[in-house]
Amino acid sequence: MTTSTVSLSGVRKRFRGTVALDGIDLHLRPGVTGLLGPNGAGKTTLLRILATVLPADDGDVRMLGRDPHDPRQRTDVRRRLGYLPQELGFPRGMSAFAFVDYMAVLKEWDDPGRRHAEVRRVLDQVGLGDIATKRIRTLSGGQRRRVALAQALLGSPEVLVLDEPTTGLDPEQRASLRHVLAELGRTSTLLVSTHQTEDVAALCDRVVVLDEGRVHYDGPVTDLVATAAGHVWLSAAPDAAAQVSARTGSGRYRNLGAGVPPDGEEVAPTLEDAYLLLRGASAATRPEVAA
Amino acid sequence: MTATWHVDDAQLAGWAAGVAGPAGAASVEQHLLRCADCRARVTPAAAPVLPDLDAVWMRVRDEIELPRPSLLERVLVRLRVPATDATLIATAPSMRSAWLAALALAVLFPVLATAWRGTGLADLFLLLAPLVPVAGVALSYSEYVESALEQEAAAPYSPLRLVLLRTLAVLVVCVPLLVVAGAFVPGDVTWLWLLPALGFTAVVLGVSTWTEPTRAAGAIALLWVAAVGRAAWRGDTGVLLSDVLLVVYLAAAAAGVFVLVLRTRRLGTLGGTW
Repeated sequence: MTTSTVSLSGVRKRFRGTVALDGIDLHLRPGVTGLLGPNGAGKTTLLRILATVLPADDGDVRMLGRDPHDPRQRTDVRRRLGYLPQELGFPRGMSAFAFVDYMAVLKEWDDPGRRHAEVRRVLDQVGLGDIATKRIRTLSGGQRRRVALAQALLGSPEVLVLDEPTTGLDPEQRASLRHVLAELGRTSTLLVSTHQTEDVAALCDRVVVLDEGRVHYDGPVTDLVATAAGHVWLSAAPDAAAQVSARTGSGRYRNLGAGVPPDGEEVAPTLEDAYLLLRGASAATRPEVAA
Repeated sequence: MTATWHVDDAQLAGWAAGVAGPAGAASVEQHLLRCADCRARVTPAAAPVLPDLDAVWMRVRDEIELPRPSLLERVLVRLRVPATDATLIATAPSMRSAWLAALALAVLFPVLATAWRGTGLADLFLLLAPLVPVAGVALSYSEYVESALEQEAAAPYSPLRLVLLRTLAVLVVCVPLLVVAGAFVPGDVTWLWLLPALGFTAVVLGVSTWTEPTRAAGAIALLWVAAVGRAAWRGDTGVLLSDVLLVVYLAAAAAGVFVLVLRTRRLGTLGGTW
């Protein structure tokens, strides 16, 4: 049996009576795993637990063979962890370089020469090397997101927990970010939450779908896509039998449903199709649904 | 006269690289003027010491990119505070407001003291002085406890050390300034305000292991304002500095620090108990 770098068993978390996580079992190995799910599914709570900033109420959490509930082991985990939170507060008036440098101090890079070289490396890695001296306040949303990501990459950590790293990035930036993450995934364990199924399809070997605090799917991306084969078709008009029917750029309708009708033209499914089918009933409330 | 001495390779290379020093350089130059053989060796000697372009480029980048240490950081480093600690202290921006408040009191009270004689001045000082360090400490790391700076919480740096570092930075600046202000205030309050100040600060630190430090500081400020107001209305703020209460402040200081250390595991997380 291959040993997991990250391992959760029966993890539960509730906030003031609301169940956020309801018995999560998850075992991750080096590679990139995508985390999909609707808003409120518990993705951010799960990532916070893995980032060691939130304790689980119940269940067993193991990160790199250590138990983050124990303070000493938690510090040990934090030394080998990179975390991009969903929302990031930047201290006022700092340049991108100064902020990442400050985070590097908190990550125990004490030698100034080595620290500055590392800060440069991660800023170059996220494509911000040229504007490192600009104040964060003057940067665009996508650039700020990349500053935040840069601090997570300090020291090429063994475990990277990234909450929506591609939000606010333009297509080129997303492509280059995927490249960076794919490289890291060769040796490190990455868990990447996103709303973009294309990111998962392009980047991840494995996908976990979370809904209402439970794991609804956990397996290879290709296997999830394959579950939608024979359930996606094009038609000239909205198909009443379809679960989801959306107009495409060509003017025809792309339908998801139980099976391809005789007059439908079957097409290859995408990860988004498979995800929507898996989501089932709640996905059917999308506005494009045929009357 | 024939030169019997020649510049050796190391000296020549040092001179060519500009690191020979004034005396060495002068001596080499004197010799080169007279010795064609050695002059011929200058170019080969200079070639291998061409500057390392990567190093030069890094120095240029350092010059451009490295954040210029703030005045505060430079002062701290001058005072032998390790550079990384200076960075962490200087990054808590809200702390400066506490310093400024202390400075304002240090300027204000000598001025007030010349115009205003009587217990009112002492009452006002007793009201304000203990709250300045409390507010400073609460503000200096409230952002750290709140979720806004989640990424800091996930870093391996000891949260207790960070909290204490910033607390110390507040106290080291505020207390001497307030002592200066207190010197112009008549009565026991000149020195005795220190005890409630320490007690309140420690309580904020201890309570911050449950909730945001600003809440604790707010509650303490309200209670203190009410207590000083009531005592002043009765014309005897001295009761707030009675022997019994002074012991209570000291006990609160000890209890606050004890709780902080005991519950330090709770720092650096976003809620719940580890």
